[in-house]
Amino acid sequence: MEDKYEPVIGLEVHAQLLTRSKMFCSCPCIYIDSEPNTVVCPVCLALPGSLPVVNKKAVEFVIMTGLALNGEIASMAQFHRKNYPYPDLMKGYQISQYDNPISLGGNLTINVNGHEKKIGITRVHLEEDVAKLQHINKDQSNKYSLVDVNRSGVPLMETVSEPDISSPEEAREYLLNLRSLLQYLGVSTGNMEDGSFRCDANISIRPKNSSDLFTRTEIKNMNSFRSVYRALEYEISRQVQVVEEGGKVVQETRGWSEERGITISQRSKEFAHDYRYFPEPDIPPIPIESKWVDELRTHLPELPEAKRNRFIDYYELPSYDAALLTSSKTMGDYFEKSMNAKEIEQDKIASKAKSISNWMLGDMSGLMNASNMDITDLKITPSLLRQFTDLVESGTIGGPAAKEVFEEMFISGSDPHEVANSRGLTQLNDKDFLEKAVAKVIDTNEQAVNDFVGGKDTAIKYLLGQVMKETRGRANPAIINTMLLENLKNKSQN
Amino acid sequence: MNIPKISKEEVENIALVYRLGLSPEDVSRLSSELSNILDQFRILDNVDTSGINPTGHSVSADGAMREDEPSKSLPVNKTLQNAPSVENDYFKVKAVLE
Repeated sequence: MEDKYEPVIGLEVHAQLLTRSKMFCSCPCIYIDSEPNTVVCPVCLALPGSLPVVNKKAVEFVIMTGLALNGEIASMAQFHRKNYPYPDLMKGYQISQYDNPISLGGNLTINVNGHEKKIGITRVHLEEDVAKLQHINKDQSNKYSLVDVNRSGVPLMETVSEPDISSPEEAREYLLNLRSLLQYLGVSTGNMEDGSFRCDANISIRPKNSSDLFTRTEIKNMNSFRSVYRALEYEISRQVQVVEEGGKVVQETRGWSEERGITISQRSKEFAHDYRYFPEPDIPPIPIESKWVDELRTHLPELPEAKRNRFIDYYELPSYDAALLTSSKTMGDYFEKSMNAKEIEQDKIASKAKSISNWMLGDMSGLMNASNMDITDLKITPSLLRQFTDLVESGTIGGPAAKEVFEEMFISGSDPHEVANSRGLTQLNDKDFLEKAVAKVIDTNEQAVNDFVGGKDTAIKYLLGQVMKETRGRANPAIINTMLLENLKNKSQN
Repeated sequence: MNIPKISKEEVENIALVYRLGLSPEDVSRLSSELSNILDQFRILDNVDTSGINPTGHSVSADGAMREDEPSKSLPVNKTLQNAPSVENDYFKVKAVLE
């Protein structure tokens, strides 16, 4: 099937914006931690006489996102009413944007298996989130829904891609990159699990290398990056099967069922939609002056691609490391805080960077994955990681001891010096102590000493091993080697 | 003038979209009433609008927006005061599944 057809996918992403108050009223955006119906007011309840007023910050966030996606910012933003009767809307319509989105066009670059591809962006617009429904189904005669209006009116930004995506891998990469971009911009948490970042997909298949388009379906209810991947994979094979069996794909909305691993038709005559968009009479159009846009452009933070390139140029990191370290803003920030490059001599920056990168991408990522933690939950502060790598580089802790110290820091967030000292993991640098250990080994291993003096150079390895045993692995092998050589040289001269 | 009327099927579709329950008598009455209303508005077709920019809104753009400052919401008893049905501080509504 892979040879015969190719999928054509476009994604719609809804991201809640990180404003403090709602889109059209001053209720705080704290619905996740609130009791039902406690962060609502006459505006989000749609009580008669209430009027919506646009949150300026939300408009700015959408302009910033549009700019970061290379879109063209409209000179006038207009809101429309999108009408549909469903109890998640208090007003009977959602305030959205129709033919004048804040940002039009643009693109987002993704990288799949080393190949760069630009995914076109159709538009970015602003709307409001809806209330949360709970469907209660006690028995056939006792079904009802419970409505919590708290989420209603939270600013929601919709980013629509062109149908440029041609595999589940590309879809996943697009979503990860878009999320990372929104996090860099500070406009959304991008959290998919709690519903702050949601994705619907439009998908169809077509014979490979043809411009024919078969009918598309819309897939909803994908609540994680993994479920987007699985749902698209499933839907592609379903559509191929329909076509192969001589059937036709029906245009419809299908819901992804995570448990069953399939998409299910939500087609129903009862829910025929006719949104009847018309200009929102309560909100006059909002002029977006170029002065405002220019100011926002000037204040855009460094974006993922630019940061990746800087990590490669300035810290001389391999592009693999740079890509992983900049995949999220928090990761990149953590790295740079640990580096604290201002305090490092120029010629030591690259080696320090590689050392911090290795610990972050190695042990740290491994431990975080194993305990299902995010970098924001980390107990090791950037400054502690820095001190830790200093200790490793100076030889104060080494080898397996370093891993042990790191694990303890990961669990407790303790200072690396303290961990190493309290566990007796620092390397022994007490010269008298080491001299004594070396002398003892030489005295008690006559055979090996004679072998070495007799010209068998490898015998020193045995002696080194004995000293390490004597010091319970805490000696620095390089120092012991030097000490042994000196002592043995004296012996052979006597 | 030969003006297309609003058919009964169109009325039924509008009723479905608005969730209105209409009797067959309602449908035929509304079909003719809505057609008449449309006819009334057709008078606007006679206005010469060439050279006039399309108007998306009746109010001129003034760009009035608010700063992102949260303020107090309603106490939950006020919010639910007029609700026909309530359960555990939720609005209770007829089962609607989509």
